[in-house]
Amino acid sequence: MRIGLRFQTKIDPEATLAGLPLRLIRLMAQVRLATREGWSRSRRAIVDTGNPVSIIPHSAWRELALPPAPGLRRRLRGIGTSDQTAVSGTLSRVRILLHDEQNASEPVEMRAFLLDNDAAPLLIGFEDILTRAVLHCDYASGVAYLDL
Amino acid sequence: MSGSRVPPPPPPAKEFWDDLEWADTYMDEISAAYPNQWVAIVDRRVVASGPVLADVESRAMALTGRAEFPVVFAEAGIRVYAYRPALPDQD
Repeated sequence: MRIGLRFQTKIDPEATLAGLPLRLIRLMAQVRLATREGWSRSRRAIVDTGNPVSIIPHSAWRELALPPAPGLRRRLRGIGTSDQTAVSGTLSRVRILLHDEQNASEPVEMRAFLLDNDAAPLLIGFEDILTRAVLHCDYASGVAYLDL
Repeated sequence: MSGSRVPPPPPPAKEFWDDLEWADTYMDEISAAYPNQWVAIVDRRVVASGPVLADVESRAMALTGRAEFPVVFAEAGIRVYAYRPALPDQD
């Protein structure tokens, strides 16, 4: 199934002031997570080929079909993040589907870090999604999709 | 797991995608006004914002009566997310 993705483009104001205009570009998907009642509302997720595993903020996973089992805990940090500002999460399994305006993928079981808070957005990492999908990304023409 | 048995709902209505398009168009302004917050968009305007996604969704639903609407995370600056394997004396 082909699922359309969207580009989100912002301008870094500080870089612009410094004379180095910089676009902040994200590749975005819409997803639903399996919940106790069925499926969650449609949520926006960053598609991040540079991240090994998906992450899900607390508010998005607290309604999941299965409560997270006590699992592997990790601290998540990016470039420049200190130990004090890193967020924590528990590695678990969730079921997810991706969709666009017309189509929805089959549900996929994926491993994800379930964050302790909402300090980071929902993010689709490599494991379990990008490992089984073909990603087409053409920013110049504004076309991106996953064949999943 | 319930979600595995229940067929997925249809894609959101056109209004949802219009609001998402509006959010992307004005993401610079949204990020400046609501840095690193969750922001709910209904009818091409910000109707709720805050640090807790569930609270923002609840307020937006109560204010608009809309069941499904885009909620974006208004990242400020360059943010990189990654996990760091635990060191032997951590966690």
